[in-house]
This record gives sequence, C-alpha cells and structure tokens, in this order.
Amino acid sequence: MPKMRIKMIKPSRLSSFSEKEVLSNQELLTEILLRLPVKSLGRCKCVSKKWSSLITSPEFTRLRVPCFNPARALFLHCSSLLTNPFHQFVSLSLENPIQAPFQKLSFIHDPSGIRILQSCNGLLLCCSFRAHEPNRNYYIYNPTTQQFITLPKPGGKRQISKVILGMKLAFDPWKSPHYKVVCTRRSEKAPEHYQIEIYSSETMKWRVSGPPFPARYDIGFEYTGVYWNGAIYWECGDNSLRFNVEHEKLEKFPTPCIGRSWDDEESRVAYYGESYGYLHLVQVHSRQKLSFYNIYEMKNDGTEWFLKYQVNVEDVVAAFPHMIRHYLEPTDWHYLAMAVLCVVRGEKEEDDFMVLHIPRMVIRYNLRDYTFYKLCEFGNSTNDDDQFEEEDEVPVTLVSLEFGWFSAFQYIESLFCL
Amino acid sequence: MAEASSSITEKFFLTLKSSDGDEFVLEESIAIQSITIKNMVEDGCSSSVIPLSKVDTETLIKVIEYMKMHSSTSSNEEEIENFDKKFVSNSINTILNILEAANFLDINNLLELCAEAVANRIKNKTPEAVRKIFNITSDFTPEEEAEIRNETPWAFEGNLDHSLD
Repeated sequence: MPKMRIKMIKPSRLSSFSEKEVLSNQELLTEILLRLPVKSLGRCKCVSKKWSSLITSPEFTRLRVPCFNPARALFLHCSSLLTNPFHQFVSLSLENPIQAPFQKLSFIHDPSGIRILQSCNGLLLCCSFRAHEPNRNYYIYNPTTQQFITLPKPGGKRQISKVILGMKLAFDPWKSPHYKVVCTRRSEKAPEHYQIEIYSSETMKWRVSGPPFPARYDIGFEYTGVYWNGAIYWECGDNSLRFNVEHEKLEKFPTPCIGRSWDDEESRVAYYGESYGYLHLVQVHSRQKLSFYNIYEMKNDGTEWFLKYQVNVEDVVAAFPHMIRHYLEPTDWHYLAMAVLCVVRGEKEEDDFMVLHIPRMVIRYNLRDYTFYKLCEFGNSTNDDDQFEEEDEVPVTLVSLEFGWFSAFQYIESLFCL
Repeated sequence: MAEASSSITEKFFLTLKSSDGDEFVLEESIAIQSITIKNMVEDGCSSSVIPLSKVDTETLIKVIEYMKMHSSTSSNEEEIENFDKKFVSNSINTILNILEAANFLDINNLLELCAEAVANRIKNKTPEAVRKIFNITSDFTPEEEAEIRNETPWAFEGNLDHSLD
C-alpha cells in the first residue's frame, strides 16, 4: 500500500502565535464559542468588546440554542395562599444534572411574591402572585442571564374591562429577535366576548388587535395557552382557539379523536405543550386503561393531529403502587394519582421522553423503549416512611398530587438579552 | 475490459505543498476529504502541485495524519476514537493552527473536532486566563468590565480555573 512520502521536512520551527489570527476570524471564533456552556459564555463576555458583542448578538443566540437539548429542567410551581411561591427544580437528566438558577423568584422586590405563568423558548413570563388586578405586575425574565423587564400596563380602551384575564408570551429566537405579549381581557360590548391586545418588544408599546371575539368561558385564558409555530393555542375541546401572532388572526383548530362514536366514550386531555418545535397533546381515553397515554403531535402546518406515541405505563404503576387510590373505583378518572408534567423531544427520537408526576416523585419515562427512572423525590424519605406506617393504621388515606402540567415550566438555557 | 478494471484499482496521487514549500504526496481518495481539494481536483488542477499557501508544514502533517486515519477504508471506529482523543491533546497553538487549516481546507469533521477541543480547554477558565491563552488584550475599562461582570454574577460562582494549560 502506498504511503505518504514526505520529501523534505524542515527542522521543527517555533510554533507561530497565530491565535489572534484564528480568533479574528469571526466564523471560527463562533464555532468555538458555540460549544461552550452558558456559564462559560457569561465569563467570556468579559474577555474583550469583540467577544462580548459576538456572544450577545441575536445571530449568536439563535445559533446557540438549537445546539443543545431544549429543556434541561422543569420548574414546578409550589405555593399556598399564605406563602410566596417557590419552585421545585427538577433536572431532566441524572447523568448531567444542572443547578437550579433560583428557587424563589426574587429578581425584583414584589411584596406579593412572583409566580411563573409561562415558559417560552428560554424566557419566563411571570406576574405578581397574591396581587389582584389592576395591581398585578407582569415581568419577562431570563433565568439564565437573570435579566428581567417589567412590562408596561396595557392601555385598554373604552368598553374593554380593566381586568386582565390572561397574558401569553410569544417568543421565537429563530424567527425574530423580538418578542410579543398577548393580553386577553373581557370585552364589555357583548357577553362572553374577549379582546386581544399586543405588546411588542420592538416598539415597546401595547395596541388593540382586531375586534372583540366570542369564546367559551372555560377556555382557560388565565393559565393555559401554548405558544407554538407562531401562534398561541388554547385547547378547549371543540371550542379550541389559536391566535396567529404574526397575522393577528384568530381561528379554530381541531382536537384529536380516537374512534368514531362519541356517545359512549369519553376522553380527557392529560397534557398539552410544546417541546423542541413540536406541539403535543396527551389524551387518556375511557375505552382504554387509565395507564394508557395517547400522545399526539400537531402537523407542521397546524391542520391536524397525528398519533405519535401510544404508551401503557402500567410498569410504572406496578413499580410505584402508592399512586393507586384504592378508595376509588378502578374506572374512576382519578384512580391513579399520576400526571403528565411534560413531553420532551430530543434531537434524536431515542431521546423522546415524558415526565410523570406521582405522589412525592417525578419519573422520566422514555417513549421509545418504555424504560423509566425516578428523577427526584420530594421531602425526607425516612420521614415519609414513618408517615406511611402511621397512615396504614388510618383506614382511608388521601393520595394527592402537588403538581399538574400547568404548574410545570420548562427551563431552557438562553442568552437572549432583555 | 482489462483496462477498465485496472483503472478501478489504480490509485491517483496528489501533491500538496505547504506554505514552507514542503511537498507531500497523498492518495487522492484520502485528500478529497477536504472539500477545497476536491473542488480543485474536479476543476482539473490536480495534475500539478496543489499549493496550500495558508497551511504550514507542521500543521499540514497533522492534517494529513487526520485524513489518513479518517479515510473510510483503513481504520475501524475504535481506532478513530482513540486517534481523535490523542489528537486533541496537542498544544492549544497547534490545535488553533489546525482549526484554521481545517476551515481553509473545508474539512468539516476536523473543524468540529478542533473547535470542541478549544472550547473544552477554556470552558472552566477565568476571563483573564482566556485572554492570556489567546494573547488577547482587554479593551474594556475597569468600569466597563465590572459592569459586564455584574450582569452575570452567576457565571463567576464556583471553582474557576486560573491555569493557562
């Protein structure tokens, strides 16, 4: 086999100091910096003005985000009416755990505490917790860089109630370096009519968008609503609505259904949310076991849902039988104390998983190979065992969950500058 | 027929010339991992010596070592993995030179390997250490630097590496 022939080698020279030259090439410097963890990038901003402006540029932020797994952790909202909310931080990987950026949101002194309303591509929309309208403040917070802004109050117009029903953040760093906030209020023009107002970070102003529109009272403007693919989705069975933020257009969207007969069958939405550019909806169906989850994905064009995964998590039930509510009928919707907190997509399909909450625990369930493991357990386990012994003597013990999917917020690292 | 079959097994060679004027003869099938060289071959420039004015001899030797190891036929995955591990333990100056060469020669795998290696070297370092390693002079005033530090105080928590290796 022919070998490389070196005709002539000069004696080894002193290696040239070409660092400056390499690093003056913006493209190569970007290649290096893209591979640094967020914490290192925070420090590297101090190296020079050039590094700082590169790291904080919208182009870099956009390139940086998709290189990594989207959600690294979840914030689980914990509160009672008496205490200010705090957040249980659950890292989504045991091999590669990350530190909680905060427990209590204290970026600003808000006497009524601060809660998270929504997580959207790295930014959190937060608001004053115990304050009522119109004294409630709304904030946009980047938990990675710990920067925040306080949103100005929407101006409102005559015939729009002062009371804000819901706020939604629409932020997609791959589409635009600006974000928008969509505010929904009750319109006083007609009953069960609502009005949308939009804030743009580009103009830093609120304005009224479109005419008042009708919607079901239980559509959940306050705590539900998911931003995906340029629109905010409010899931409400046959009355679901989405608002295309770019075109400011409101429209209906379909709900997935299994089977044809709706008379004797019932289904419930156990979760809907976005991950890594996919919109998911998880349904539990009365025809199937309660441990059976149908995971739908919305087609890219937003026209219909298709069944992406179907999983039976009865192994989880067998491994953690304390989730069974023996005091209920096995056909009762609430027989299993189990909630889907999040469906998380990875770069590869093998990485797709679901985060389940059962009493005192959070479980990671792989959607491809059906393996699962405990991500965390709350409270002191020995104490809990003691409690169990005591509880055994009590005939009926209530098995309760602390979190639902609307109290779980994804932590996505982002360098976006507010 | 005989002619056709011999042309399949026949190996073509290219001569690469470094910026120091040293010439290296390399199988074409190995060399075309570089998109830059591949384009030159397709444009018919391969009969003469290919001048690589931006790559010095020391760097070119490393790049050729890498291309030979990564050419599809000669090595198995484990060998490649071990080679890559050893390859990135070169001095940071060498890695930076190779990174630049990989960019010029358009060898994507090598560029990614080197960028990752450089990032790994600096990821736990203080800004001062990064500056020294890269021979960069700060153009911030102390006030400006303090302000930037205050934007992200969390980035300076924990154990930081002050060393320059």
